[in-house]
Amino acid sequence: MAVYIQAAAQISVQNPLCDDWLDNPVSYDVPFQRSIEADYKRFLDPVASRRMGKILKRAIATSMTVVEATGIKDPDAIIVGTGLGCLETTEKFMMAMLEEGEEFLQPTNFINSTHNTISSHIAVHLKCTGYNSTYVHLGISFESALLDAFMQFQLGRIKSALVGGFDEMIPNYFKVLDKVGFWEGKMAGETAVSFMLADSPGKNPMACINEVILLHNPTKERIEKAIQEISNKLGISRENWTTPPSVKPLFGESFSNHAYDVYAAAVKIQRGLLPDNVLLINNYGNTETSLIFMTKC
Amino acid sequence: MEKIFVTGFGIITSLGAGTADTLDSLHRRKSGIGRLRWLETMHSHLPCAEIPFSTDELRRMAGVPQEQMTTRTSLMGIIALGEALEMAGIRKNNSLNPVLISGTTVGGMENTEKFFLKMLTPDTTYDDYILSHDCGVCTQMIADHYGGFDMLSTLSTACSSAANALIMGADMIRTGRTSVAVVGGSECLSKFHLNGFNTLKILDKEPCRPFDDTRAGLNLGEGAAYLVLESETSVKARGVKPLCLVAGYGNACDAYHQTASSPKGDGAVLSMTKALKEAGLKPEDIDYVNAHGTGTPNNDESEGKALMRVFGADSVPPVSSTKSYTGHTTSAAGSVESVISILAMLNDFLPVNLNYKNPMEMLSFRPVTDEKPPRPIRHVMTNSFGFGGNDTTCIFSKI
Repeated sequence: MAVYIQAAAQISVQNPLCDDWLDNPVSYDVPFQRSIEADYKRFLDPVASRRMGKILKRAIATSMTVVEATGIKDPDAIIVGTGLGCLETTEKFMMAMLEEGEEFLQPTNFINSTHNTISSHIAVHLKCTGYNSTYVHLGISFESALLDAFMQFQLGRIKSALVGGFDEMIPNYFKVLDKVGFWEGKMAGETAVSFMLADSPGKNPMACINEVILLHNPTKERIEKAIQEISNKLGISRENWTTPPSVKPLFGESFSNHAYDVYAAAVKIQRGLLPDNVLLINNYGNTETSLIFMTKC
Repeated sequence: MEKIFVTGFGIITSLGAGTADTLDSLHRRKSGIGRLRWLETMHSHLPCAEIPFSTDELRRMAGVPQEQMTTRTSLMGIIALGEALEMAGIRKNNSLNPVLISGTTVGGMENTEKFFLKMLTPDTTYDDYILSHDCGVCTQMIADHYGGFDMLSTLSTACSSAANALIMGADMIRTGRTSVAVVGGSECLSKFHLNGFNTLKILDKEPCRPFDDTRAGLNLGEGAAYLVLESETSVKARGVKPLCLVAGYGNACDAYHQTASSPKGDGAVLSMTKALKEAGLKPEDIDYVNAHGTGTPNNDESEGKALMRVFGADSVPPVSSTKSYTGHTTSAAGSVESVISILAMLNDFLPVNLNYKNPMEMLSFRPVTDEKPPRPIRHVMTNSFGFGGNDTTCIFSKI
């Protein structure tokens, strides 16, 4: 079985909602860079926009972009991966509580602080009453969402799915993670990528997803065994899989940033800039591993 | 389609650690809601359902050394998971390599809210707590205490997190990715979410009264529960006795409002209908519904109307909310209440809806006040609804 990526859109430290990064990448020499914002007026009215945090605006903008590109206005599922969720509103609520006490707190920031705020905002925006879920598992949050979507297709429950990876980074959280050496000298960034997946290719499919595997604390042998099993199942021999270098240096480090690798691979497969069979491997913190098998449609 | 069985479960809530204490409290109509003992907050007048053990006591019960970084959420999870694995006869080295799918929202917030201001200073004493802030780390700490898990993931759909973890785990078995999936959730109380719920003005200053006309909100609780789901093939191969069947489940989004449910419970109707369809059951087959039943004016009206739409106004099966015992265990509620529903089914009794006196005019049914079921319990349904309209329903059946 294959799931088609019918469209994908990103907002990041590269120019938003386009693939300028391919020919004209923006480069940075800073420890922490927030994303270049898109023009949200096209997607949201100003009143709604003011009440939303950055991560929500980016989620709506990338989601609406893939909805418009595919004409799939009512996807059967909306599934989000986010390592840290709505960090900015979470911090606002927590700091108010810590600095001003528990007496006069306002609900808005709490309401917008839960991790599933993102997927439910997209659902409310698109009026989608279908399957809706949110994954928050460290550096494989996005891949967890992708795996769930893949299984819903496999089980024949859905024909289309809006799947996204979203994370924001705020100065204070960056600073504390920096104190414990979390960034390892890499540039901290944010993530906003939406994909429209479907069981049919649509007009202009970018690439296919053929399998998603997640592993915890795997040995090299365990990873190799999994790759071999899937290769056999797909009838593509082990040596015919290409693993391109990660695009994370271009987009920045973030919990769900493997979404950029899937996005970039899809763009490149579509343009023939990568071989037809791509295996993306994400090793997060030496504890969580994801394998994503992608092919040319 | 291959059948999915439950072969073990474990639970810890304000009713105590383990299924025996839970069952005993339900039978004796003893609520775990009361005064706060451990959480430090100015809102200590609000009744909550805390687990009756300090974090140090939980550490000892879980067998986690004093010097090891942990969170209350993880400790609760370790204790509940331990009971589930033992019941299912899963030991570290029996090469089953199960997956663990866990739901949580608070994660390590209880530490972050204590130490974040200090972390922002040059003092480095508390910095490592930042590495236990996010939800996924809690799942890792719970899994790695036992070891042998081949894959982990973490769900966060607010108060339906653990129920959606069950769906993910069951789907992993359905698609042949694993033969054993351990699913559930864990969530401790934090100042953050107590205050959050308080700003929404949905916390009752009295013990909650689900489905009562005078209901005025929910009481927050804390808890953890895990269920071992296993394929029929694996059950046979291991020669273990399955406890019940995972008959079906459904997930839908109300897509109405960030914190309020739609007036007629559209999302709830969808999730219940999907679950019934997948289970291949008719509404009249359901013998007990463990409602989401938070006790807020909005939820109980919306859910009540949804139940009337799904089952017919005159044929709603026995319904109760056990949040009148455990408080609202938020992200863990889905698995906590799945375990309670299964206990009710296996022991053939209906958990009585505590604190109910006054009927709600707009509803055709009354919650359970008599433990004795009108007929043997064969199929139980449990609802878990989260902020953002993340509605999930699970159905379990007797074997």
